[in-house]
Amino acid sequence: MPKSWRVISGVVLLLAVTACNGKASLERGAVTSIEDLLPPGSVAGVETLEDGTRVFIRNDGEVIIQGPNGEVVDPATRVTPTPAKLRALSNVEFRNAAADLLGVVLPLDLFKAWSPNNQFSGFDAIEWSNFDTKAVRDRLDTVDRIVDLALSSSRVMSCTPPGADVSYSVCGPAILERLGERAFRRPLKADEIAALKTIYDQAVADKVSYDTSLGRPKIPMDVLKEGVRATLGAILLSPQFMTKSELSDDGTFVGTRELNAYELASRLSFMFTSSIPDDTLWALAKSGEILKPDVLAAQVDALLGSKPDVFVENFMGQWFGVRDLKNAADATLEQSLWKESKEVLLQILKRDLPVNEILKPGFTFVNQQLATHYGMDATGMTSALKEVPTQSRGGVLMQGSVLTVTSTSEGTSPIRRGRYVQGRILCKTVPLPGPELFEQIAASQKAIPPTATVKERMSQHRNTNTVCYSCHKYMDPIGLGLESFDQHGQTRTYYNGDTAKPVETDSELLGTPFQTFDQLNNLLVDMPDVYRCAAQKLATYALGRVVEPEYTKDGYLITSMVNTGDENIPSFKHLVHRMVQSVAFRSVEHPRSAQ
Amino acid sequence: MKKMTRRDAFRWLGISIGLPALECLVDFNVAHAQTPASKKRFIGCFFPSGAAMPSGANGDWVYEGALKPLETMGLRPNVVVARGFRSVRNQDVHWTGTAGFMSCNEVGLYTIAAPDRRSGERCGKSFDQYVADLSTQRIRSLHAGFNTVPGWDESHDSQMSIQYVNCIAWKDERTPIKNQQDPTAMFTQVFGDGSNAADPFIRYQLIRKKSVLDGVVGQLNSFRKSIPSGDRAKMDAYESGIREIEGELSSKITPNNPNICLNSSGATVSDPIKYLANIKTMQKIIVKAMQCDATRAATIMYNDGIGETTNSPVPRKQHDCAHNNWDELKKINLAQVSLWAELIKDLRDMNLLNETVLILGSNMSDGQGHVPANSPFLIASGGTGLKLGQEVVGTSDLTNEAANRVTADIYMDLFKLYGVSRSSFGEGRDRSTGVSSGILT
Repeated sequence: MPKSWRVISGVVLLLAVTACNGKASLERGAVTSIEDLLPPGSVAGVETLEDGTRVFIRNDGEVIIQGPNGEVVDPATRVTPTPAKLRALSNVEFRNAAADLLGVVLPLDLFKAWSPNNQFSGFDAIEWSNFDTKAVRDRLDTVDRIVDLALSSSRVMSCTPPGADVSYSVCGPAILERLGERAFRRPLKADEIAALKTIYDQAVADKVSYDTSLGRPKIPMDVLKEGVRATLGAILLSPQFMTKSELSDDGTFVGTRELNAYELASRLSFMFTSSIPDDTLWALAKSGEILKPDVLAAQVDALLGSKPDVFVENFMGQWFGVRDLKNAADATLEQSLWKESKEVLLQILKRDLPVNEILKPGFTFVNQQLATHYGMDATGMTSALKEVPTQSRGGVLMQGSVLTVTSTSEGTSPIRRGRYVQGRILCKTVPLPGPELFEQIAASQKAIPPTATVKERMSQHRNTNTVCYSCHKYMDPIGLGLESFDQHGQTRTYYNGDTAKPVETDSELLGTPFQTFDQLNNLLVDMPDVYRCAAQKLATYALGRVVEPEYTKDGYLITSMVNTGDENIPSFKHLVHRMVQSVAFRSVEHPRSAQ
Repeated sequence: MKKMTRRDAFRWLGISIGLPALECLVDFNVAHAQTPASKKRFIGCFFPSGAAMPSGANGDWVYEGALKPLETMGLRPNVVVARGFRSVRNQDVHWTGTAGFMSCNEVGLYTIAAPDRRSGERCGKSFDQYVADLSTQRIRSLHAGFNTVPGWDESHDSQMSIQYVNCIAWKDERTPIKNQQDPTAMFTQVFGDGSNAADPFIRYQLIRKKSVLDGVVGQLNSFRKSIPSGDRAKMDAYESGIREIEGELSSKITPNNPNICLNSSGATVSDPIKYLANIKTMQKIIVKAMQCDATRAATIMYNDGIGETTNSPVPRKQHDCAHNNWDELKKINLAQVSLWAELIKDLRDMNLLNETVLILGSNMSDGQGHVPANSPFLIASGGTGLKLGQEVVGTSDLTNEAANRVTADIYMDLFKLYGVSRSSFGEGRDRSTGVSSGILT
C-alpha cells in the first residue's frame, strides 16, 4: 500500500496552485510515454513504491503513475475501495426516504426541531455524530406524526382484507415485512423479522387490552392499525433505516469486497435521489441485474433523466452553499435567486456542457424580479424564469445566491469570498492560522486606520506581516476581484453610492494580474483545478466521506474521473459515470478495527 | 381528552415568562434534606467570543462594565469572579474553548493524512454530566441553546468537528449533547403536553411509545452484531439515548410520580424567535424543573461557540462585534450577563440557590486576538462553601497564557461541594493540577 503524499514543500494542504494557462492541453491527448505527461518543471512531488512503481504528482494536481517497467499506468486501476463506515442518513435523506417508503408527503415542519447535520464542504452527514438524547426525542416525536400520516396511505395499508373479518395476525406481519425490507434496503434477517413480530404482537396485545379495559369491542381493523403503527415507528427509528451501512455478516470480516446488488442500489439511490431505491431500482437489486456495468450505466442515465432536480439540488446546492435559500418564502428575492442557480446548473447538467462552464455558461434564467435586481431588461418578464443569453450573469460567481451567501448581512468580505473560491471552486484548503499568530492578527487589525479602503485593508496582510500574507495571498486578491458585486449580487462601481469610494477590482490571481471581475473569471474558467475540484466534490458527495487529492488513493480516483481520453474538459455526466463505475463506488473495504 | 397541540403548549408557555406560576408536588427542601453534600444542582452557562478584554486584561469584565447587572440585582455577594484561568486551546479557541469549557479536554483533531478514516468527534465528559450522574431524576439533564452551526469552512471542517462549537455538554467523550432551541419542546419535556397519564388513552399512548422504543432496541441488537466493533460505540450511544427517553416515559406512566411538574396557568409569547424571550423562557423552565426536582443538571449556551447569527441580543453578530466593534460587544455581554443574573435571582427567590452552583464563562477573553488567557469565568451560589462576593485570582500574570491556571482546578473544587472525591479532572494540558483553585472557603 502506498504511503500518503507528502508534497515537497512540506505543506500538505496548500498544494502549490498551478499557473492558469496551457495546462489543460498538457494532460490530454493520446499519450504513450511518461515524458509526454511530465514536461520539465511540471513535477511537484514523487514517491517510489516498494515494487519500483513511481508515482508523480504534477503541479496541477494530476497523478501520473509509472510502472516498474517504465510503462504508464492508468490511475483507475489503482483506485481502492472506500472503508466501510456507518453513516447516518442526513435529515434530508431521512425525510425523503420516509416519504418514499410510506407514499406520503411529509411537511418540512415535522423536522423543525431536528438539529442540523454536521457538514463538510457544505455536504451533510459526512461525519457521524453520536445520537444524543435530544436526537432520540426529536426523532421519536417526528416518527409518531409520520406514522399518523402513513396509516392512511395505500402504500402502507395495502393488505386491507375484505369485510370485518380481518385477520390482523396475517395481514400485519405481511405489511411490515414488505415495508421492513424496503426500509432496510435488503432482505430482512431472521432475527429482524422476529423482532418486528415481537413488537407487532406486543402492540396488538396492548390495543386489545386497552379496548377490553374500557369494555369496548375489538375492531380488527383498529387492532391492525395499532400494530402497524408501533412496528412502523420502530422500523423508522431502527439503525438499519437511519444509517447507510455496508455490513459484513458478523462484523469480523476484514478485507475488500464488491458491494452486493442491494448495497449498490442503495448507494446509487442515495447519490441521485437522496432516498431509498425506487421500485425499478429495487427490482434490479432483487434480480441482481444492477451489478452489470451496462445496467448500472443505464440506471444512472435513467435517474439523471427522471430526477435531475433532486441531484442538482442536493449535490450542487450543497456544493455551492445555496441550498438553504430554497426554504425562503415564495416570491422573495432569495427564492428567485435559488431558482436561478438551480435552473442554470440543471441546464449545464442536462446539456452535457463542460464542467468549467459553471463559471461562464453564456446564459442565465431570470424572472421579472431577478431581471430588475440585476439591472437587466425586464420587459415582458413575469414571475416565471426565462432563459436569457448573457456573458455577465449565470456563472456561479455571478449568481446573486452565491454572492449573498459569501457576504455578511453588513457587506461583502473579500477574505470570505476568496476563501469560497479557493475552497469550493478550486478545492484548495487554506490552512488555519496557528494559535501563535492570534496576537499578531489582533495587532494588525488594530493597525488598520478606520478610513482605509477595502483594498488598503487587504494590503495590511501583505504590508504588516508576511506570515499573514503567506495564506491571505490565496484569498484576498481573488476576493477583491469580486468586489464589483455587492452583498446581494448587484453590480456596483462605488461603495454605498459614494463617488469618493470607488470599487477597486484590479488584483492578481496567483501571479497573473487582472483588472476586472470578468478577467478574473476568464482566468478561472481556464484552470484545470475547476473540473478536478468538481470531481473531488462529486466524490465527497457520492462516497459520503472527505476526499483529499493529496491523499494518494484519492488522487488516483480524481485523476481517473476527469480523464476523458481526449482534449475535452469533462462534463458532469462524464464525472458521474466515472464515479459510479469506479472501484471506490462499487467496492468496500472492511478495515481491521482500530480498536 | 383532547391531545394538546404544540400551539396550545406555546400559549401556556408565555405565562411562564410573564409571571411563572408553576407548582410542583414535592417540597424540594424536605425531599433532599438528608443528602450530605452541600450542593446538588448545577447550571453551566456559556457565551462565545469573550468580552472586551484587551489582550486578555480584565477590560470591561468588571462590575463597572459587563458585570453591572449582577450588582444592580444585588447578586454580587453571590458571585465569585475567577481571573487568570485559561480556556482550552489546541486549535481555534472557538472550537476548542467551547467543547473544552466544562470538559477540560483538548478536542480530537482529524488526521488529514487519512481522510477516508475519520470518524466523529472526541472531547471529554463534561462537569454537568457528572452532576447528573449523582441522582436519578426523571430528566437526566436539560440543555438550552440558541443556535446550531452546521459547518464552517473547508479549513476548519477538515480538521475539526463542527459539534465542538455547538456543544458544551458531553455525555461521554464521544457524545456531544445538542441543545434544545425550541422553548415549546423544552416545556413539553418538563411539564408534559397537558395530558394526564391517569387518562386511560394517554396512558395507552405512553405505553405504545415505549413499545416502539423496545422494538428499536430489538432491531438494534440484531444490527449491532454485524457492524465492526469500532462502530458499536455509536449504537451504544443511541441505545443510551433510547433508555433515557424510556425512563422519562416510564416516570410519566408511574401513578402519583412525585417528580411530575404541574402547570397551573398560561399566557402568550409575542415572537417565538426573539432571542431574549426564548432564552428567558427556557431559563424559567429549567428553574421550575429544578424546583420540582425533575432534573438537577442543566446547561445554557447563550450563543453557539462562534456567534455568527445576527439575532444576538442587540441584534448584531456576536463574533463580528468581538472582532471589530467592542461598543456593540459590550451591549451583548451586558445582555447575556443580565440573563445569567435573572437565572440566579430566580433560583434565589425559590430558595434553590444555596444548593445550586452556576457558572458563566466563555471560550476566550479578547475576541480580536482569540486570547485564551484570563477567560471570563464566574461562579454563583448561596450558602457556604464558596468565596462568594470575592475575586479569586489564579495568577496575577493575567495575560500570560502559560502562567494562567487550568479551569479543571475550579471544577475539582466544585466536585468537593457535591460530595464527590476524584483524583483528577480533564486531560492533557488541561488536566487538573492537584492544587486548589482558591474558590473554596
